[in-house]
Amino acid sequence: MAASKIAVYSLSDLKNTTDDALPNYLTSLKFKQSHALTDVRLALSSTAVIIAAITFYADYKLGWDATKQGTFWAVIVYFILNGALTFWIWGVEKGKVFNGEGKDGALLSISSSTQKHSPIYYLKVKTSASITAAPTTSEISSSFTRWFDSDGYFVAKPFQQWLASEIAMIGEADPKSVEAAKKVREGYVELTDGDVKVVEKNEPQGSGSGKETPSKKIRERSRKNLKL
Amino acid sequence: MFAALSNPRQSLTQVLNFALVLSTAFMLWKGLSVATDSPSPIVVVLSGSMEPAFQRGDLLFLWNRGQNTQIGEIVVYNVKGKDIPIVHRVVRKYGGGDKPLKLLTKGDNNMADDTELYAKGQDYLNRSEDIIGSVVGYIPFVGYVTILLSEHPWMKTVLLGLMGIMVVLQRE
Amino acid sequence: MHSSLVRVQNVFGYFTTVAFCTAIFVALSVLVTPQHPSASIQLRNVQVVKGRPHYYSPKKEEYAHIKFDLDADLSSLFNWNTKQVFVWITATYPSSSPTAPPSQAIIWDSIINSYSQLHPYTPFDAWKDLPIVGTNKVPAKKSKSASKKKVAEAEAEPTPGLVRLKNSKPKYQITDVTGKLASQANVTLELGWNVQPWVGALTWTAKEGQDFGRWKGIRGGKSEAFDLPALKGKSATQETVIQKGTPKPAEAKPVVP
Repeated sequence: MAASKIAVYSLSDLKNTTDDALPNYLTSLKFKQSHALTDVRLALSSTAVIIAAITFYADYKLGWDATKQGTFWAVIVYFILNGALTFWIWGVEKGKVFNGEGKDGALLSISSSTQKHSPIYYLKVKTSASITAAPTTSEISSSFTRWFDSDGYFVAKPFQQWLASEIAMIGEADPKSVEAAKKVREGYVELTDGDVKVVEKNEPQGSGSGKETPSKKIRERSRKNLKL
Repeated sequence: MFAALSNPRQSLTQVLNFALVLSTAFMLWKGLSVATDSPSPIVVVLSGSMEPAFQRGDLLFLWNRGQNTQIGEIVVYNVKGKDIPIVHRVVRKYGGGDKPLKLLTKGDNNMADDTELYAKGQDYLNRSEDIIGSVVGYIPFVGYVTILLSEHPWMKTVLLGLMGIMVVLQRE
Repeated sequence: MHSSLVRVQNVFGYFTTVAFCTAIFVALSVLVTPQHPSASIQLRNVQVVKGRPHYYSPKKEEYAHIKFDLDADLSSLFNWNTKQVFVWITATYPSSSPTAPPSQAIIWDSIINSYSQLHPYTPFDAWKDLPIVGTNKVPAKKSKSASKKKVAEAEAEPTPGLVRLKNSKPKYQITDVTGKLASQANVTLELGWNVQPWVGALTWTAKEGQDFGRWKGIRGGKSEAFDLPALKGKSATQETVIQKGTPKPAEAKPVVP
């Protein structure tokens, strides 16, 4: 998918593009995305903006003296809402990119993060068989070079293969990607996606599920690839 | 970038982020207004009548909670019926306590006091009605941007447009 | 950095932060410098005459014309953050209504510029005396007498803040809001000032005893109480005149400690 080009050196661009692609991929596999968290955040923001708009309009129409008391309360409520919103984004949402359920009511929750000046994409995956079952968490990571080429285009297939091979629930829903990923791991040199040829050298790609972070060698090679 | 707009929640989040930035700026201004009890807690000096103390473009911080204005204080007032705030120094003070506090002002750089500037028939300013604050702090030059914006209103549109474009193009 | 726009943004943001921190530092640094102003004011002569507020005004009001001596040392008010000091003398007298605080009217004021205000530093100042690059010209040698004169001038520049006025005429003739000022009792002349900084908070008169950390209240600064005479012309003996050479004993304070 020759999508729009992004600046390869911008960590935020890399992360945002990847974050956008993840729920698209999962919904195409018929995972149901739950928007509850996003909706709460939207509700908080909208209320705050509406309060500000009302204050602005009242001040515009009635002047300062008449609206002094009302403005006082509006300011207080606004900053309480703002604080709640900040807490929500920082504490509750915590970088969540996907929250939803797969087949048979199994819950899946994924949040992403990156570290400054490092081209590694970290994912925290929480799965549970049902609402009452205990959740299992795992952390996986990969360098962005796996699914971005040096020109800055996002290549979907390697990304999907990585997700499918690392996260069991996704792998069950998308066995084809798991197959393809296995083939790459076993030494096949090329994998193609339409007319974009991404050549992968024969090197150990995966970081298994668990707390492994990519080895220093892979990180250095990725950094050289990105010409940082 | 534009592919994201097909997702309604995504575009709503972006719009709200932009609106939040504007609203927070506005509410901070209103909060400052409430704290200082002045409709305009920060003013920009427009004229040279207080030179060499204040030059055009200086930023002044006002405080309006001291009803007991002293002589020599620099106050900002609106002439009754006009909307131009004037920054001058108090040179005479009568009344106070139970009686309304009456003040006469004069610009440092002016020869005469402000009697001619006041409304017809008004010889003194009333502290509680006419004064919107007295100057407590000052930063030089910073306000010159506001003067430029008010004298060339097209710059305001350009600035807001630039800000809007930048927020839409960036995701953060 | 991945784009010039981001670079520009970062540089501008850094500049703003540094400028802001410098301003805060300079504004707070004034608290460290000690202040010890002192002054003595004496009444010399006062008359009350009838006059009009403006040329075309129909009503007549009584105006007081107060001459005074002033000896003030406000040099300690000047620090590196002082832009100018605005100093004034008010005539303070009890208000016509008993519940109100005393009425005040400024009879004289003056702006004392600081050295930095009169000689603002620009980066070009350092280049003025360099030989002109790229030509064979050398800046004309200043004659010895001219440079000597400059040195003398610089030395003769007085320390800002020392004010000495003898039998000075007032700048303004004052009246009361009621229009009547003749025979007003218990009038005092008081010195006040307003320090205007380059950046930060403005400060006003510190009354006697009102110490604030290293800043002492003014020593003296108030004249003896006197009464305003009746309208001039009613009786020739009503004029209050203080003879030269025998000034009323004021609170005698040395000018410079």
